[in-house]
Amino acid sequence: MFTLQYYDINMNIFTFILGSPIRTYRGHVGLSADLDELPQLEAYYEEHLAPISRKYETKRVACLKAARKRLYLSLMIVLGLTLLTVIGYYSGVAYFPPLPLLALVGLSWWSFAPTRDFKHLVQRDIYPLMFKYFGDDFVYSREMRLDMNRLVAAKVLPQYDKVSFGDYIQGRYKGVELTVNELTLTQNVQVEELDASTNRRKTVTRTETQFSGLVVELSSHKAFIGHTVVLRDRGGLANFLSDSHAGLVRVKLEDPQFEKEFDVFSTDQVESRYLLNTAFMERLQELAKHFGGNIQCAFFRNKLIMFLPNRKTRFQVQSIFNGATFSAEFSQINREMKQLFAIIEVLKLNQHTGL
Amino acid sequence: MEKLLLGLTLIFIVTYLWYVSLVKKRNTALEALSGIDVQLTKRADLVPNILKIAKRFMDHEKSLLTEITELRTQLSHNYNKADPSAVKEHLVQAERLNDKMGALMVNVENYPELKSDNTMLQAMQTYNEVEAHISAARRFYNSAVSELNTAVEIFPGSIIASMASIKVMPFYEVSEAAKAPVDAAEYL
Repeated sequence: MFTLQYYDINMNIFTFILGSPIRTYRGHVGLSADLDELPQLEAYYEEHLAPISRKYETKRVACLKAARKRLYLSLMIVLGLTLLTVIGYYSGVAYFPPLPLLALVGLSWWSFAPTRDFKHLVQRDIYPLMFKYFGDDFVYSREMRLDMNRLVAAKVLPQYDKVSFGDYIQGRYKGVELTVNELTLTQNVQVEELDASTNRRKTVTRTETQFSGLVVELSSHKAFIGHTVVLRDRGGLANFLSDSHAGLVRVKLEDPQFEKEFDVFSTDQVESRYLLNTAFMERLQELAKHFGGNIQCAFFRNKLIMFLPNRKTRFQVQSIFNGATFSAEFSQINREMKQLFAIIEVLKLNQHTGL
Repeated sequence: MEKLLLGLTLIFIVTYLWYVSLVKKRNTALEALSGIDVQLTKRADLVPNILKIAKRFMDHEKSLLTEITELRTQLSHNYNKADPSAVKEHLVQAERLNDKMGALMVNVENYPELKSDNTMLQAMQTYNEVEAHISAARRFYNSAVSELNTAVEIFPGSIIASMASIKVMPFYEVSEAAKAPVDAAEYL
């Protein structure tokens, strides 16, 4: 990996609050990519992103200035309210103790609204341009989402109460249709806790993340009518006690290494073996190594749906304190997309070899 | 007396469960065998089309084409699925047809006109797909047979199996020709 020098405009949240001057950044742009790809990336950047980034740098500075004005005003209001609360406390006049704290929370949210708006603007206007680098048919959206009913019907996702979607990308790579969506599933669980004050056990409700990561839908190179899922190994005891998963029957495959890492369930024993032949099993294991063994997938309704857990957001907008060159975002998106394309390459979904 | 009755009841329950498990395994193997037959029928339906196209070009391969036709006819005959030797014979014939079809596909290379014929190309592609399905069906069958045979051969399953007339079933093995190493020099 070849990296050009990265810019630094020496601003962070503390220097921002302390009044460090907000300046327009017109410095060096540092893109990072594989050495052989870098010229192509730079050419695209210069043609499509550089002209628009100058306009957005002005907007960024305006947003930061607006945010700082609001922040200072908020601080004054909070200080005033704190003072009134203290006076009220000592003079015996009616007062509401949590008021300064509530005001702090509400005003902080209001103060940073311009920066949030700027990030949304970047995602709405700049990100789709960045994704066009991978092909004209690539679409980026925050509003579009995968059909949750289909994902649930694929029988890979765990139980959940609440679902939230993130970035959505759709396109075609080497003839393979690709759809990516960030997904977070949470569930309210009841746990018993010891209350230190009363020394008694009490039941509390906690929100636990059941899945957080990417869902990747790929058009399959093989036609199929059944439903096959590849799950992380459930363990010997679970398999001894049950030979099924959500109505799908266990498929015992010949590869002992694959069997150690995964459990396969299907509605069609022959079709599952047709899809998961020895070559494909090997490719899936290779891919699992790349994603830390946490890969699960389903062959369902003529699509290969892959579930890749990951705690961090993959297509995040960089800090607003950096100049609006978008080079870091563009480099990161390129890296992430190359990883997703590698899935197609590794699984050879673009090749109709019969394997 | 009560202890004896309890012991006998326990032995009866265990034996019955063992018997159920053996029957289940045999039925899975038979289901897998049916899966193979479904795919073999698909291939049998495809063979006449390939032969019809091939006949137009392959004048010197008449004996091979006749052999394939005969094997296909033999393979379409009914056989006793409960008889391991009949199953074995059926699978050997299926593999023999596979070998001959393989030889035909190799010989197609010697006929450039046939090789470039669109209908033939499509037929060959479909044939390859069916072969991939046969291979998958074979893996399922061999996996089911492996479980059945292990259960039938190990004591006390062997006694229960002999009482219930559940027999070991043959594996669907590839032919010796398919196992032979490929000499790349022959094709270069």
